Amino acid sequence: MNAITPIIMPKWGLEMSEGTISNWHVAEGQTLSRGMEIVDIETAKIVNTLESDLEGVVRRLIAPVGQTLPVGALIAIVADAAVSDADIDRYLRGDTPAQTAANSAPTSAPTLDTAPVIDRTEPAAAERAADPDLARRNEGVPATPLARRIANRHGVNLSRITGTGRNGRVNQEDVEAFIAANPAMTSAPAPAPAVTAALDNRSVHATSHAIRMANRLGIDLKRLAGTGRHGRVNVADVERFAAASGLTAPAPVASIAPPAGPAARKLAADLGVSLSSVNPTGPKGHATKEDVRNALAAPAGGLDPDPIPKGRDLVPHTAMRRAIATALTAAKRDVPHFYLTADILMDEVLSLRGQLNAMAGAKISVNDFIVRASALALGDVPDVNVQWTDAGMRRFNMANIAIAVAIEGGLVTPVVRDAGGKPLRTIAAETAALASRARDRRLTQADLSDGSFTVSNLGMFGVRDFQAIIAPPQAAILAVGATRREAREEANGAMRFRSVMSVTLSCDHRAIDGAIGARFLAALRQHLEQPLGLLS
Amino acid sequence: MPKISMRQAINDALHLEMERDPRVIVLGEDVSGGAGGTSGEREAAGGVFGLTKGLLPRFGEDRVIDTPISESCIVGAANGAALTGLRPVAEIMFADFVGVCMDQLLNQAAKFRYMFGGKARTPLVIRMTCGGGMNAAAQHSQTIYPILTSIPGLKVVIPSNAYDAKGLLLTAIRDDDPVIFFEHKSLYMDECEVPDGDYTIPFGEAAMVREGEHVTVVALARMVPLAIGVVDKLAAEGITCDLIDPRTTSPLDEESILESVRATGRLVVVDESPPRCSVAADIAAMAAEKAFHHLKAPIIQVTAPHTPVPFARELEAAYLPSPEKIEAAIRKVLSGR
Repeated sequence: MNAITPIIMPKWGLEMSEGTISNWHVAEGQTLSRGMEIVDIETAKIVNTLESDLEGVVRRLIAPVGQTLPVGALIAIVADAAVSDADIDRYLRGDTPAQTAANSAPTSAPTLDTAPVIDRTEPAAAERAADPDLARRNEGVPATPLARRIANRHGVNLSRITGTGRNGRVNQEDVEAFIAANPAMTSAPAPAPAVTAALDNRSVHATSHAIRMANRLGIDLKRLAGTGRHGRVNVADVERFAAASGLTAPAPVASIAPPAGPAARKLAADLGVSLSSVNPTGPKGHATKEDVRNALAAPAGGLDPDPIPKGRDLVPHTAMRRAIATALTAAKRDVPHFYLTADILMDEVLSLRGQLNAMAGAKISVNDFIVRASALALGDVPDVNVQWTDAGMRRFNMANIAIAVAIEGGLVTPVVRDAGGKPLRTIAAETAALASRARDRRLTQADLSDGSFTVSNLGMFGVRDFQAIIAPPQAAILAVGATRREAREEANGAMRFRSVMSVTLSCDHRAIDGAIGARFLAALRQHLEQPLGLLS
Repeated sequence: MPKISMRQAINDALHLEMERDPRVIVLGEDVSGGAGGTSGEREAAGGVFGLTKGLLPRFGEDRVIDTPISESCIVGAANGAALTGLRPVAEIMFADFVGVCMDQLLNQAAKFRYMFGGKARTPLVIRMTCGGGMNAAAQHSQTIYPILTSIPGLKVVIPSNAYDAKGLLLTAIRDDDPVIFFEHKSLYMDECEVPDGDYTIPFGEAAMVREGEHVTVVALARMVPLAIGVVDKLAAEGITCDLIDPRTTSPLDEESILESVRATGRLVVVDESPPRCSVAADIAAMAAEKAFHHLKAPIIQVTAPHTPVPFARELEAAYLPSPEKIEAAIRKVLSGR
């Protein structure tokens, strides 16, 4: 292969629009073989590993760890070793037409501003697994995958660590403790970065922040004389060197905001003014209280989009939190919801469940009954098993039931496929496995895609009933409340206590009309009130 | 690389340096433990915490000296030995007892070099145990390093792990000035990888234990492992911290702390000492003075309260800084209040 091949942000599943680089498994200069793990990417719902479907040499890692990029964005360059660096630079500048691999069309222009000088605060590319021998030796030591990855990245020989994990397995903590206890380790990047870019600044006697700044600016610290304690290189030394070399002073993180004293900061927070909108007139470019007041008066407003209210902590969003916010805001804004609530008598289901679970081996939840009943009801009323698209109505011929599972930091909705064609016992087993994988954040994109209808059950928390937001592109979601005991009048006028469960169906009115939703609820009620049919 | 405890690392350093340099002697209460006794067992103790075990059989009683129970006598003898060319490593069993020998430290050891116009050297190390968490009550649990840190002429070392303890102790013994070497009792059993041979860690250079963006956390001694747990936990949420272990409070690595505070704009100092005139207060004041315009939120100090260390287990647990208190402080400093 003599071509230059871009590695781009993949698209896993219909709804993936962007991904975050969570961990590079390869270093620049490393030879790729088919099936080799290239990079871990975090999407809204999963962390998945991109594997190589080609052979070649990793020439450039474009996207640093932590960067979020749209699907199709360039994240790395693979080319044959014979291709010159100059050719790759030309390619990156866009002079050469993209020679795309079969599956990877670069849909966005390569971003040159992310030159391959990699910030040291991110684990530098050259640090990871640059020593294949070490990685091979480490393969033989019992260790968790994460521990192995960290060890390879830091050049730690795993056989030197006593594992404290299960059966003496080395875990992440063990490796990190080892690294923390060995400053030499932290500072020793794994052997010989094969190609350019990464600087060996860790081995220089310098403060941590001086190293970080030098790496940001691409300065080789070996060229500096330190003026700090014991000749240590400090930030001031790096700044002086940068100024003398005509490099722009590094923008400290979030430096768009001018410096400001506490009084001005407090006033800005109280007034909800973002400091970045303040025009500083104070000494040394500081924003004064007056400047803050002026910013508020200015027509541009300068209202802080995210002022930190008193009494709250500001915690950065996870990718999942952002995805939930984006998807649900869009759903509530764009999908015309209406809601239908019905009561269902659950005595028969509870009794049947008791009998089934009394038999050895069975462990079926009420929710499993609801999933199966929903699937059969979708079969009875297929007009609910649809999705609105601008082009036309997408109809499903089987019921793929997504189940909302709460996990730390958010929720996911793994899918039980063709729940109408599966016995209760299978649904129960699949649901349990999906929920367990969800909590470990080990769901794959396949687990999460192709749902046609969602069941969200908050009954176990004692919620009586609620209205759920539809998860597009689906057109309906069933919100299930707790089963309660309630006195009901019988046909003969007698009063009797029954087990009652309220369910609320949220429908996308573009796709489903009220009467159709009501027919679905009637079918659902029938399946649950006469549950023997669910066993067929 | 072998994984050994801080106790073993300090013992190793003493063995190494006594082997290397015949001028090094060890003295203190029960450092061997059998002198003048009737049991016939010459090495009866090896130090109450076992730090000096094995030294007597190897180096003999001229170099491993059991002293009377008199801290004044221990430090006074060490002062004299240092002035006349030896390199004594004295042991004060509990730092709490330092009051007894304060004149020898404050007015003698710390001042010789200055009073004799630079002609006198005092290559002296005084090891002492400190710290709570052992249910040892108010007279055996204090972290009094602020008192000694405040005395010009003394160097003060407070390691947080076995690796640092060994490298710093070797530096201390080779230093020509008096060095106070604090050993936190609750860290003695903590193990980490420690190289076998000789290595030194310079004074006044902090360890950047974790690197992050949002908050600077400075912690000392046993507070370091506690802070590591919290910082790693928060990292999983996306909150990342610079975690700095100064390792020596005199000299203090102001540069590393200030550079970090200027980058993050937020500072939490974690210290087991009571808050008044403490190392935490000192670091907070330094940051307020020298990084004022970079601060985005008030500095927070996580310390013990201004009381003696309680004896009751529950009270002692409530008294000491805990991971919960550290986490709450980091979240609070992030909230900007």
